[in-house]
Amino acid sequence: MIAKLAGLRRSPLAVVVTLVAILLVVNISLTPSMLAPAQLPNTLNLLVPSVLVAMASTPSVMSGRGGIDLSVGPLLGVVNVFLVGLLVPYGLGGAGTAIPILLVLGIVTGLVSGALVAFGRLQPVVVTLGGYLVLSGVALVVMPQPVGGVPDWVSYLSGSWFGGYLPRSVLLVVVAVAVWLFLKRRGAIGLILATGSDDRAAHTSGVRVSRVLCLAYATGGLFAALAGIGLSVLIQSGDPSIGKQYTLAAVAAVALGGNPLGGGRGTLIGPMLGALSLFLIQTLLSGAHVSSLWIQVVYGAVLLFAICTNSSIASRLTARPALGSP
Amino acid sequence: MSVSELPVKQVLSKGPIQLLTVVGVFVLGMLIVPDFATFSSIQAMLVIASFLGVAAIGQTFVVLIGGIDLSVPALIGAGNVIAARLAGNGMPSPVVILIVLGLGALCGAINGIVTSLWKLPSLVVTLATASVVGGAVLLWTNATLTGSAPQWLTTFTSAASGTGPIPLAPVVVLWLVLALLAQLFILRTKSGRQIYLLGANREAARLMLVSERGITTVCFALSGALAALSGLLLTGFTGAGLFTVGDPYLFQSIAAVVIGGTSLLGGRGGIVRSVLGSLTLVALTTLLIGLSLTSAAQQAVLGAVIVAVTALYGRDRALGDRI
Repeated sequence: MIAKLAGLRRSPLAVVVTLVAILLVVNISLTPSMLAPAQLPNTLNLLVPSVLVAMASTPSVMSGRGGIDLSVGPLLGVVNVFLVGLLVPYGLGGAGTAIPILLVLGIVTGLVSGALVAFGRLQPVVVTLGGYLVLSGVALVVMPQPVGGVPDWVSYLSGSWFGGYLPRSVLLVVVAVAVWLFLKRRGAIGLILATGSDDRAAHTSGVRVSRVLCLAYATGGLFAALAGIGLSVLIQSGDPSIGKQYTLAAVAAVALGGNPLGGGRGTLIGPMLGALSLFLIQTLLSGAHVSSLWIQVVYGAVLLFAICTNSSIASRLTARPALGSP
Repeated sequence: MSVSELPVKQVLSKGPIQLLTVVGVFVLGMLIVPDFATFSSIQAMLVIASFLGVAAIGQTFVVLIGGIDLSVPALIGAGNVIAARLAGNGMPSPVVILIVLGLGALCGAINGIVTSLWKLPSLVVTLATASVVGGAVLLWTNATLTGSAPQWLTTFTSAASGTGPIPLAPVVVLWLVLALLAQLFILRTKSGRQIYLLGANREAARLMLVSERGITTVCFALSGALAALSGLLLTGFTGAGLFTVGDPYLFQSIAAVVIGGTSLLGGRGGIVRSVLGSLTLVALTTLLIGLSLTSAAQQAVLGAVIVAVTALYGRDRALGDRI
């Protein structure tokens, strides 16, 4: 038992789990209504896009080479805008047509980034920074102004089952986790981690590094598309500019979750919990009626504190100097 | 010799292609957009490029050691607001400049110390400090337009004014002088060479007794000070202090460095490249505005062009060649 606890303390997840636990207790004691059936769907609808976008950033960061997908935020916006601004007016807004189209849109966008990184041999920051600008531009071209009117299935997803205890938007996260577990079972996640840890070693061991990189970015794109649907569920309208702000929050969530930004290691649950803790910090501050201007300061301070603590744990983990590491 | 090391490619990757890119974009602009190359238009472009360029010099220092500074826009905003507020309250300008530069350097130094002390990714550290600085400035100004620019600063950054016999705005001359000094610093001083060493190979740098903490702190402090300076200069251009003035510079400062050909992995590149990168970026934006694209379409095209331009010379070596 004690050994288990000690192991937990050293886990890269320790900081984020502790943070979430503390924040949950404080949040619930301050605003007990947060988990009441009347509030829970709203709370979770707010949370779902943040969690999904953190998941979307995870595979690209794992894949190494300084991999990071800065374009996930605007991709969220593009998915939202495509749904409300293109698919609905052209009569393709039904769940059967819209959902596959949007998911394919996300996967293809991710594949393009992945191909530019893998075959174009460009640095991921450059590719996804370009993607960031292109996608935010495209969103504004398709829809210059926010527009209302979402299809019925989006409104349906914002509701809940069992009298408010099981919000339907959680389905989106369940789908994403299922995809991840499937990929993990097929060994794909292991290959992504191997590539991220040392792409030369992976290449010489017969891993098709280029394809693995494409897969990592495509998976991120798929999760970002799910996040875009989650965003549509949340705002119940189309808004071209709201997606962008998710990018930096996603990076922060990944780092908070204990995944090294250098790639090669990491979990999916870490970034999910990272997103949850960032969300709880915000609800805590707004629940305590702190001025919204203060939120930014506290947000940054908590982030700084958490990653410093994370890092000292990581350095304890790798106390022995790694031999021959570049 | 592998394909990526063919002599032509080697020459191209060493510099002239950045110059060619600037000239290429410029010629394209002359051909497509009327009045693109009039002297007043060039003067205006240079002034706009100088605000970006000053911040990009700082960003280059950080990128050379393999980091990235996301706090640039927050510090530009902070420099802008502090300068406008203090100058508006009648504080003498030299004091204002010292305060702005000092605070910028301090914030940057904190970035550097935290990054090197805990061995953290600078991306997240600077993101966090940007959030703190941004929030603090918002609290201070209540998120409103404040202060005013002193008269000399408005002249300093006006495209119509000249610097002595040189028909360029003083801010442009200041930018080019700073860039030249920075380039000399990284090429000709011991600390400058250590920046390259640290960026190229951290472990080798440690064995050669390069102080990782010292160099990292200096680079981030320079980036912070230059970002704040860029914000101060922007006060002259905008006439008042507004925190959000720095926002467009988040990606622009990185894009200028990358288009210039400095590797984001560190160890390769230089300041003059970022000067060319800033010029390319501004000429390109002007060209797109001249084509009367909407700002949204401009953004989309710019993103695609950044990727395309980088593909010309910023490619990594093929995996098979690195084994």
